[in-house]
This record gives sequence, structure tokens and C-alpha cells, in this order.
Amino acid sequence: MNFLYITFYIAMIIISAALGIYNLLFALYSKRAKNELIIAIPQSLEKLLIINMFISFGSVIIILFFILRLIL
Amino acid sequence: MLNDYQIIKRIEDSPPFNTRERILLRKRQHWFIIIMPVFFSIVVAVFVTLILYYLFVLKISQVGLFMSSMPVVFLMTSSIIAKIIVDWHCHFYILTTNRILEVCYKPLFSNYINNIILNQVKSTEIDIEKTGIINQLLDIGNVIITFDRPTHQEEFRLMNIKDPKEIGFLMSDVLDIEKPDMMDAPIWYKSKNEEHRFRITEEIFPGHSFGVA
Repeated sequence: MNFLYITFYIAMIIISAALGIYNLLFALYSKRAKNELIIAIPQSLEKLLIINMFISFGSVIIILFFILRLIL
Repeated sequence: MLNDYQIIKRIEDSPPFNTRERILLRKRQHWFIIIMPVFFSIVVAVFVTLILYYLFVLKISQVGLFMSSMPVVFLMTSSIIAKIIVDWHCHFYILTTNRILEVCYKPLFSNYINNIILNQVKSTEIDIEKTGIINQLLDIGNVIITFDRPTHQEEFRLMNIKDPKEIGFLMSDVLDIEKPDMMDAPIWYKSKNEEHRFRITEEIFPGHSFGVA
């Protein structure tokens, strides 16, 4: 059963990290739009993307904590 | 097919960019367009959270699994909502005295700019359409402008915009102007080889000296 749980946790880590990278790239490309096409995305959305990156980072740590608790 | 009276000139000799170009209209799609997908994303997220709670907490009593899946559900939902809003925000139409522009920029996914120079086309039809109860209530509709062939794309669509009737009439006013006969206008080309600057002209009209007005 533990093996199944660990597999689930690892899947969650991968998805969480992927979403963090996606949000980072999305924020970078939005900045590029501001420079190249002079289209600025709303400030609140920029903040949301940054918050998402932090949540992604935090969730990876939390999930790692759960995995370690399960293993040790 | 070129006619004898046509003059071919270098693009460097062309008149300067029209500095009197004025923006007449800037429009985005109506905000109601994004309400449904955002609402649907939130409903799906709540539904998934309830299923996960039932499965992990009530069924197998593994709070850890539930706690670890929650940030992922939140991240997914907020990323989808952010994408929907940014896509809507970066898709707009601009009408100036010289051109109609559609800009559709989806960061990380696609980039599309449709620029129609008004003195190079002749519009043949402007259609205004409003369909559906919600569209009637909120005054949302489409304006479809049909052009002649040089645009390659015969229709220019302003989709789901507010006040389509007003914009349609504004378009009619802007497009209903006297245009010069395109066949009489010079054809501009960009020369790369300075020694062989009027190559195109010479090939078409051997022995003639065109190029300078």
C-alpha cells in the first residue's frame, strides 16, 4: 500500500513542479509581450502568477515532507 | 498584370509614414465571454476537491494524500483561470484612420496579428449580427467586414464585442471613403543589391529607365 501512496506523492510532485515551471514561463512570456507588443497584462494577474510559483515551490516541499514521513 | 503606365519605385523613395494616423476605436471581446469558462473551472475544482476529500479522508483516512493533492488542484485551477483572462486581455481590435488591426497574443502558445491597410482594400459588405438571449440583453455581437481579394482573407471578424451596431456604423463611415485607383499607384519594392537596384523593372520592361519619379 505504501508503494501506491509514494507513487501518488511522486506524481503530485511532478505535476506541481511542472505547473510552477509553466507559471514561470507564462510570466516571462507575458513580460515579453509587454516589451515587444506593448500589451501589459493586469498587475493582479502578474501577482497571481508569482503566487502560483510560490505555492508550487511550497507544495513540492510539503509533499516531500509527507514522503519522508511515510518512508522513515 | 502590370500596365505600361505603372511606375515601380524603391521603398526608400516612398512617402514617409502617415503621422496623422489616429486611433478611432480599441475594443476587446465582452467580459461576459470569460465568465462561463472561469465559472466552469471553479465548479470542476470544487467537485474534484469533494471527490478527493471523500476518497482520501472519509474512505481511507489518509489526510496526507488529501493535503498534498490540494495545492495541485488549486495550482491547476488558478493557472487555467489566469490563462483564460490573459488570452482575453491580449486579444483586441484596433481601428485607426489607416488600418484595422486584430492582435491575438497568447503568451507561450500563439501570436497572431492581422493588419489590414484600408487604402489597399475595398470593403464590399459590413454585417452586424447579434444572436441569443444573453447577447441581446448584454448587447454583444459580431461585426463582419467582407473585403475584396487582395487581403487573401476575405472576411475580417470582430467577435463578441459590445455595441456591435455602433461599431458597425463607425466602420461603415471609415471604410466608405474615396480610395485611389490601386492600379495607378506605384508599386514599391525593397532593393537589396545596390548595383542591380532596378532589376525587377528591367526584367519587366527591358531597355526602359524606370525607378525615379
